[in-house]
Amino acid sequence: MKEYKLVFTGTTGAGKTTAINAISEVPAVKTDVANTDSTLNKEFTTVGLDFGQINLANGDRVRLFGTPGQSRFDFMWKILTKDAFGLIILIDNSRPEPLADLAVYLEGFAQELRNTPCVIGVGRTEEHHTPSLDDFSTALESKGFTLPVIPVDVRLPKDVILLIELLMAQAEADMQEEFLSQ
Amino acid sequence: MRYLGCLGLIKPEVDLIRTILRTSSRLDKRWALAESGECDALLVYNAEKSVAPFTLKPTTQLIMIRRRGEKHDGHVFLKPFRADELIDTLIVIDTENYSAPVPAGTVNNQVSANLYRLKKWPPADILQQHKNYMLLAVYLSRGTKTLQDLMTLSGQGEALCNNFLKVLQERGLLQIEGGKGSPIVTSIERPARIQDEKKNFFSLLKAKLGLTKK
Repeated sequence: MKEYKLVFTGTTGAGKTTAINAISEVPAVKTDVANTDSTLNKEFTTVGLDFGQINLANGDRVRLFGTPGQSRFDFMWKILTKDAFGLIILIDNSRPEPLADLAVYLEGFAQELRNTPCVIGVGRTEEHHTPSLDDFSTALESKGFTLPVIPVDVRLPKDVILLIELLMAQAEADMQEEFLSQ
Repeated sequence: MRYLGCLGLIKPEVDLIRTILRTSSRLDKRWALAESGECDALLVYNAEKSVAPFTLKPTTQLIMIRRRGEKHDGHVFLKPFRADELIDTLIVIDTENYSAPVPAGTVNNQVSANLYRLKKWPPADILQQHKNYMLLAVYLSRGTKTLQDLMTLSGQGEALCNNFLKVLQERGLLQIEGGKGSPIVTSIERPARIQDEKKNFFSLLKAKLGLTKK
């Protein structure tokens, strides 16, 4: 039996826990505690990590990890992302500086992004139109990244599955590149 | 022009669908409502036993109408109706029926010699929330690709891939290199060489997530 790892990261309140719950086949293990940060409009927040799982037909497992949102836990980001087959960055467009939030994660995962497929899912775009998805793409381009940026509602499994499908497409394209360069 | 028939729907619903077909910029007037005869897709409500006055072609797609919350599979249209869902379904049918299968090695040599690379993720008005376009953009974002590469990776036909490249090019989102090109590997050779663990894993995960075509 093999185990594969998929990592969800992003700001506090971006929906990492919800995204994992949307597709996990086992009750997600949470390490939420009461939120004491008065600037965050949520009752609980993730201070450790979230964990979920998808079981494959051959017995292999996909382990779904959600990183803690707060950047003071960024030492855990790299640990969790080691050997992951993909990284999903969730951005909450209702926060004051979503583009700055994205920059934090691009910097925090700069080394991993060199060879790990990554997609950006932007939430709450219907109520918060700016920055636009194109603004995110432009910000990525300015830092030398061409990564998928799509609107998501992480409560919907189909939206989370689309993020994973785009990750797999990146990996398949990378495999073709590797093959051609052999 | 593609034709959509409606069976078992009341007149206001048919009128609504006619309006959607006429006004959707995403459908670009490719679909029209059929009153009778052959149609490319047929909306069916309440499991009619006869499809008269319509006739079905081998490629006609049946779109069953279901209430939201009911279990369903295949192409469905959910009540209460939402225009964007009908448009999405018709675009998927368009892609499935009218994109030729991957003709490995049949692409014009001059065109296939070009190498394309995405410079920036395309804006929403190009992708239109269309998954096939998103996947094409992903493939173009990971290294340079020929048209043939794109067709092989996506399983989409030459027309769809070429049109997408053209739109990206017009918007200045593509980096294009002519000349040598990468060695063209046909769709027959490639899977045999990339039968590795990761490929098998992706197949299993796609099946689990319901992403495998039935």
